[in-house]
Amino acid sequence: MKRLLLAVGVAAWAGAAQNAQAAEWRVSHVDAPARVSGIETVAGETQVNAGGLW
Amino acid sequence: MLTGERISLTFVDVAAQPRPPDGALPDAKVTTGKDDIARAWLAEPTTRYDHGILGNKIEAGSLVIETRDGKRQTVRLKDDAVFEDLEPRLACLDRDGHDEIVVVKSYLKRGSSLAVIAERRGKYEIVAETPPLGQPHPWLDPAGIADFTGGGTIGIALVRQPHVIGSLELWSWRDGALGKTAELPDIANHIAGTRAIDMAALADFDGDGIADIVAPSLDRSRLRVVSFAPKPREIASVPLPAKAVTNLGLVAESSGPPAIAVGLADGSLAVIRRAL
Repeated sequence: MKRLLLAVGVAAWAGAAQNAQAAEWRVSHVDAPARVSGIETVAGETQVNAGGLW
Repeated sequence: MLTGERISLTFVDVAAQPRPPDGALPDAKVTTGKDDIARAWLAEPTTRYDHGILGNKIEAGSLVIETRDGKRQTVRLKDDAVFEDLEPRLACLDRDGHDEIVVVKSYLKRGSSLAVIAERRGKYEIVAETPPLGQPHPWLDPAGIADFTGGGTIGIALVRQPHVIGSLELWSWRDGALGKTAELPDIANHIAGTRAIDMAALADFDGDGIADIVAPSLDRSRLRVVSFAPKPREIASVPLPAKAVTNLGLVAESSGPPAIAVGLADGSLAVIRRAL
C-alpha cells in the first residue's frame, strides 16, 4: 500500500446550497490526486482510495 | 483534520489487504473487539444463495468468533440461509459488558433479516432476528448502532432495501428482543453489486449530544442528516454536485461536528461541513 498524506485546499462548489437547511452546510471540492474509487475507515482514520497515484 | 479551509486527508492507491483467516469469506473484514470477543469474521463461503447484491454470489455459511482467551466458536447456519454481509458488527446492546454481534442473515426463500448473536451458557448463538423481508433477494444494510434517542436504549439503524425502498428503520433492543421503533423514508447506504456497505456514518451533527445519521438520499443526489431524537426528523438535506458512490468517511474538525467525505460519480471527492 502506498500512502500519501495531503494537505489540500478546498473550494466551495457554487450552487450547492439550494435551500435553507443546506445553506447551513457547505459542499467543498477536494482536488484528489487521482479518480476516487472508494473511502474506507481504518482504525478510525478516513482513507481515500485514489488509484494510479504513482 | 480540517483547519479553517485546509484539509488533511490520507490518500492510498492500493488499499491494505491483510491476509484473511483460513476459511474466511473472500474480502471479509475481520472485526476486532475490546471486550470478551477479540475477533470475529464471516466464513465458510457458499454459493447456495442466488443473489449477488455484494458483487458476487459468494456468501458466508458461518460466523467465527475468537474470544479473548484465543478459543474459537463457530455459528453455522442451516442450508436455508446465509450471512449476506461482509463484516460482523460488535456492540454491547444490553449494557452488560459483553458484546453482541450484529450481522445480516438472508433466507434463501424469505429474504434478509438482521440477526443478533450473543453468548448463552458459554455458547454463541442467534438470540434474536428481525422478521425476514418476505421473499428471495430483498436485502437490508445496517447503518449504525448507538443510542439514537438519548433514552439509554441501544438501537440498530438499518436501511430496508436501500436500492428500491430506502427505508431507514430503527430497531431497539429491549428485554432480549428487537422491536422496530421508528422509520424514515428516502435513504440509501449501498449501491447494488458493490462491496461498499458503509455509505452511512454516525456523529452528533446538531450538537444535542445524541448520535445522528448521515447517508445519501435514495437517488444518492443528496446527503441527508437525520435524527431520531426526540422524534424522527431531518436535520439537513445537502445537494451534491454528482451522485454519491462511495462509503462515507468522517473527518474531525477543530470544533463542532465532523466533516463528511464522499466520493462522487464523476470521480471527484467532496467534503461536506456544517457552517458554524
